[in-house]
Amino acid sequence: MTTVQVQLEPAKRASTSFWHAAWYRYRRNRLSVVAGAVALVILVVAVVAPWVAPYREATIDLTHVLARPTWHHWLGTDEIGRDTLTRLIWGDQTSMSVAIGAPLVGALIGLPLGILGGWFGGALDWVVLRLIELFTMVPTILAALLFITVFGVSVWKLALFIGITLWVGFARLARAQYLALRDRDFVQAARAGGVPTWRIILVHILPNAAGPVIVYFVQQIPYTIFTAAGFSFLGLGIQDPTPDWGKMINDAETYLATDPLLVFVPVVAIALACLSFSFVGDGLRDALDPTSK
Amino acid sequence: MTDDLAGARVGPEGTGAGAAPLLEVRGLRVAFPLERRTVYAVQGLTFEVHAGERLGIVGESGSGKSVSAQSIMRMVPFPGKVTGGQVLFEGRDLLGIPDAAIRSVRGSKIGMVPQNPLSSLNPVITIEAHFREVLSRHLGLSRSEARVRAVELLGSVGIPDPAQRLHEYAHRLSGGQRQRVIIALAIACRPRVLIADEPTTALDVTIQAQILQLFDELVAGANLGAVLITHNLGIVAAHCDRVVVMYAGRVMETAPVVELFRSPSHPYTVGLLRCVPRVAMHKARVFATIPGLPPQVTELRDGCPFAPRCDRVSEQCRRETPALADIAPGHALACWNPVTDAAARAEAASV
Amino acid sequence: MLALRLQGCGPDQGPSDGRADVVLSYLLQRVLSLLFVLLLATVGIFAMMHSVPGGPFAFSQGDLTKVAMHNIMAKYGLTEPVWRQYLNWIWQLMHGYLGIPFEEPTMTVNHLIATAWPITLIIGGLTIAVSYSLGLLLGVVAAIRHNTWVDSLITAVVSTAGIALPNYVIGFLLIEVFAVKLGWLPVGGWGSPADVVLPVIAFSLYPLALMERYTRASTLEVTYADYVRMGRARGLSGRRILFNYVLRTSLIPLITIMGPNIPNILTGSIFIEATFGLPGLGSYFTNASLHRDYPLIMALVLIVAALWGACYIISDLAYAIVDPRVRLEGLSR
Repeated sequence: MTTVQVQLEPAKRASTSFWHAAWYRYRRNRLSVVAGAVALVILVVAVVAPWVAPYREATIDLTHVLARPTWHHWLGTDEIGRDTLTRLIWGDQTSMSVAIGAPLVGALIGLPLGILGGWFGGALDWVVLRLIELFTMVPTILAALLFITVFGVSVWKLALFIGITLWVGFARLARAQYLALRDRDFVQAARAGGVPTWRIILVHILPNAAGPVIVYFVQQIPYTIFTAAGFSFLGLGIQDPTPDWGKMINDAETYLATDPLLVFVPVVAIALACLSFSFVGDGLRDALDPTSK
Repeated sequence: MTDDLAGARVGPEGTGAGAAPLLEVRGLRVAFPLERRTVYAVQGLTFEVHAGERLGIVGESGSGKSVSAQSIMRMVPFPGKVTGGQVLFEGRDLLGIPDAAIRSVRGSKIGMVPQNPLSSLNPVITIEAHFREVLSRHLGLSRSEARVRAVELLGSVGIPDPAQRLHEYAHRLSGGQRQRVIIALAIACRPRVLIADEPTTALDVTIQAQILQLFDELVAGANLGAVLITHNLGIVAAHCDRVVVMYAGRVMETAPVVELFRSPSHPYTVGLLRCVPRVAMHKARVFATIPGLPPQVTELRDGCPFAPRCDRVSEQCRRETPALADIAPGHALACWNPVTDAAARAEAASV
Repeated sequence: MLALRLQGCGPDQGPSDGRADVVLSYLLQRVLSLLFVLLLATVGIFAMMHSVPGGPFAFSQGDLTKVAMHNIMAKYGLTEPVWRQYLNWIWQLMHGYLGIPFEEPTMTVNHLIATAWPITLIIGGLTIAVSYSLGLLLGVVAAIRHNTWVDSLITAVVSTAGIALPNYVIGFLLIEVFAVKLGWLPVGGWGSPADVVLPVIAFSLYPLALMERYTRASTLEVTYADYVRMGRARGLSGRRILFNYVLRTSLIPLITIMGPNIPNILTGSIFIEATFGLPGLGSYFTNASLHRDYPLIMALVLIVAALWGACYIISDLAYAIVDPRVRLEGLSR
């Protein structure tokens, strides 16, 4: 070649430039940027719900039942006089707790298992693979349903039950990453240099495997919202008085003809949350994991 | 801008002089309109290829070589567009004919050998199916006729045990063998022109030599016109008759190969020649480089595109675009301050 | 599951594989592994159900005397130790008998499944047919028209419709519009052919979006592959390029992506069945787990898991047969 330039200095902190490049790629996707902003608002509202909700969580006002939007109740009230906006905001907190909590549980179970299987191989990997198969075959929604009927339900239990069904994906991902990375030159070099195994696993490989894991995490959020709302819809999810979007739809179903707003509000909330997180997931995938589709 | 280049076509003295060229590219322009800017990849490229002639197109990566080859076949990838010029093949302008007509030129009159043989065969159909589809499409051969011809072709490109190989899939062949199969496919319908776009970059050195030798034999044997795109001047010296030196989508210099190596006149050509690694240089562990990178032309402005990297640059170079003009029979140049210094030439030419 | 390996680019070292032998031993390994995992799954679920307080008859029969309760439990074999109950269940299973559902003691589980599953299968089968074929078509069209408004429109509409709302919400909105407001279609239930329309639409949207996305992505990837460019450089017709070069390779990965989704659809969605009041498998599962109907739960889990396993094996096998680059290997790495 004509422009042979020998770079004598190794590139400083390749990881920094990777995240920079990723951020650059993400920003170029306008839809993902907008979705990111919406998702952020949804998350922030969930956190600050106690301070922004106009009424207390379970305030019942039987004198204002099924009210149309007014200055007191911006989005009206439901059949027992609860303020719809308040329930929407508190429901956001419920939904987001489950939506973030479940993938977190999945990652906490799946990542260590996948890393162990992928790194050590052998009998350990065999066990991990059988576990993965086992949990793949037992259908996730049915398993979560079984857990719910056996152990009861609360926000955190729901996150736990759905999370248990999500670990398989994280384990597969981590296993594949570690399998692929453990034979790479930089890992071999670290091994030859006497770096302890735990350090290689956590410091050398984990950052390299982070991209796909983050993408997968975000992609699970809409799925979790669906599932959690589904259980509420069946009457098996979060119970009163905790507000929840799925339950709001379920409760309002009867009043669809007369008070469509009651259904409309939670439906739009679910759609916004699902769409924004899945577009963020798409953007992250293109930014962090350019090889996958 | 087309005009200043169109007038400067150069006939290849010595090779089939007087005869009409097989393939003639005139003032070709290709642009890639991107979101915020447009990349002008080829800007008024002009050259011609005669029967039995091997034309080398050299330049750094990004100089527009591959895009030029693709536009001859009307295969510029999206969002690229040919914005001007002509590609005359047997008197017809390929840029103006209908889609159906260009498809019957591709693979039949003009064959192409790609850069990466490893990924250029369909992984899910057999080698035989590759031959069958071209031969039946262009020559109307039946299944059994196609098989006979395919065995013949594979044999002629030096594949051992060709009848056996027909039933294989691409992944079971080595890189060199795959490139041979691709070459056999390219010549299957007896084309008049063969375009090879860096045909050996993906192969290791011993295989490279074999493939290029095959290329020479085929061109000589069938009296083809050949275009060999490469960044390697060593390959040009050994396997081409004429050379076009491209830079930033333009022709900088063109000459018969001996002439170019004896008296390179464009500072860029001289620079390229200096960069060819030689044994003596290996010892010194110093590679000559041309400082800077080839530009991606995103706005059309006057001036020599090489000016920012040129050591002979003058004020005129920055203001006016030099036109391609003959300086000797068959030797044309686009430069305001050509290298005439015998010492510099001699150093560069000691390849 | 991970027993497939794409072969590297280099020339193959070994002789051509004797396909039939390899396939048979591969199948045998996979089936054995499947049986083992099924065994584990049933043990796990059996143990979980029995490890928590509260049995199947704890809810409704509160007014029964202890003796009567004991008699009922004994009748269903629930007084025996758990391991014994499990072995009994396995023994019955080997004879093809799945037990008596607690909730409907006049029937057998076999009978119940035989009446419920066909409903789920019809809905599921239609859903697969509609969503996979339409998704495939739209995905290919979007990929061919890449970077045009057609592509943008298809991708925007299909993926938005498929992923914005859970299928039961879509179902419930569909009922509201087409059944309640317009009165064109029944609200729900099972009996006439019209009953399948709305559930299938609601159920199809998500797999449709999935199929469209994967098809489009995988087709686009291949569209720009070197060998497709070379096919065009050889002057092949557009149709030949599309079918023999692009689709033939781009659709192969869909087998492993969309194949394992099939059992998911064929065993029904508890949400869809609840929304439309369909007496299919899904609705039984909800009831069964609410009432700790052990025999029914075990049977349903077994069916679903077996179907999953089978679909995995079949799609891996199909992949290996369709793609010449893939070779079957044993399960161990």
